[in-house]
Amino acid sequence: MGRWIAIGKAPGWDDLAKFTDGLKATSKWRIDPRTTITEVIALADGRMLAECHANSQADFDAWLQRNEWQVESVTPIKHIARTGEIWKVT
Amino acid sequence: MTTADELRNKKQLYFDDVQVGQEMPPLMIGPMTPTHLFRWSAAIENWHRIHYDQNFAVYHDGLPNILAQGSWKQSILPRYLKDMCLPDGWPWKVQFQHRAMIVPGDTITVWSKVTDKREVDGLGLVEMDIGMRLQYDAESCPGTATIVLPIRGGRPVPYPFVAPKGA
Amino acid sequence: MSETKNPLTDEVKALIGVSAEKVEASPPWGIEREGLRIFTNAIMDPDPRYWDEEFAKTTRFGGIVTPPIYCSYIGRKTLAGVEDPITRAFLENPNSDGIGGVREGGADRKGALPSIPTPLKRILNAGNEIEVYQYPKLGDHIYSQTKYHDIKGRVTKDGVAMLVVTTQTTYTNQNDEVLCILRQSGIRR
Repeated sequence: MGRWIAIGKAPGWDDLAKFTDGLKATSKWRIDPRTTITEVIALADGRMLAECHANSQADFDAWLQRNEWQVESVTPIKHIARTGEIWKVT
Repeated sequence: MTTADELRNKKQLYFDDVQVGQEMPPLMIGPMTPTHLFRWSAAIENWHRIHYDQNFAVYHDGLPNILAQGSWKQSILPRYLKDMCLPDGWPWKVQFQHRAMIVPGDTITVWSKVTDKREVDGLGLVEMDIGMRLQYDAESCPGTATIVLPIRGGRPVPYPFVAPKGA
Repeated sequence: MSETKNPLTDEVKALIGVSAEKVEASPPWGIEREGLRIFTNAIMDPDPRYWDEEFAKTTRFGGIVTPPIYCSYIGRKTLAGVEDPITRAFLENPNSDGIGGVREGGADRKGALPSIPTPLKRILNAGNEIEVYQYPKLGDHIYSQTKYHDIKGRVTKDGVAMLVVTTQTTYTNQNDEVLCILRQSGIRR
């Protein structure tokens, strides 16, 4: 299992209502038993960041494509700090 | 959700009244929230972090989110059967496996369907398929169950329960 | 290439039927109202058989009873007066998952089965079975005894060795009456 961050733009998702519609329901972020979109952040400049946990990057790429992202980059995560907890991502 | 008065006044379901193939009334639960999960962990003192610590669940265990406890699911199925059998039937057996994880946001439909019924030693045994289905149609807890219902005009289901001879 | 051996060795097979000691799972004061209230709220079951004494007396149970397998949860609770198991667990391992090392301090800390002598360490839950015979009442004392109900071994066609281990815990009351029987199967690979 791996974790990646995608940076890009998702059309319409700078609008909170459309963002909610696209991501709130379980089936929108739990793509399948092994693919989870764990976080999506909408930045003030219109860019999006999304974190995905999946068996392969191809699973993430498929989700990005389905949601019509204009992808700038998809990069594996090395390690992460969240509210004082440090996680090494293998 | 069922109310206390509904359970207080529940009318007996008799063996005579169920048919093979019948889908029994479901029990709807949810949507589940982190607070539901936290409450259960506290109630039984299960401190496994995957049930209340999202960062741990996601980054240590690779889970999609914090998860509803298997131990909680294990109590929901007997509860559902207990309600069905009240006041004088008996929720004798249930067996199940854990499948789809339940995460906050999920709504659960506890369901059952009669697959067989037979009279054994004056008591009505009803076999059922049972499960906990999520709102996106994933099955979380597929299993089977045997409940014991009184037969109209027949002997009461004993309590404490004693399995009928030949069951 | 050597063939994968069936992990059900004679040593493992000898554990089938082995029982741990019978232990009291309930706290010294037995089944009580407040723990019952907290539990029934957590499973969102408002059944008045669990809290309305006047009504419960009119039922065939003759008084307040607990949910079907309530007795299987009470042994996990930390007893009063022990060293705090959570603090100790995280001092020993800051990355504790919250259960390793925290289990001790509960009423069921005795009554464990011997370990299975196998290198197969990864455990997946393969299913649960429940049989219910009687509901505990307020004031009851609960006893539990666990045994290895069955152990099966196999090698998949891909050459993966696995054991399917089924443990059975029988819960009885102070009169040695069976309340419920729980079986849990786990796949070790």
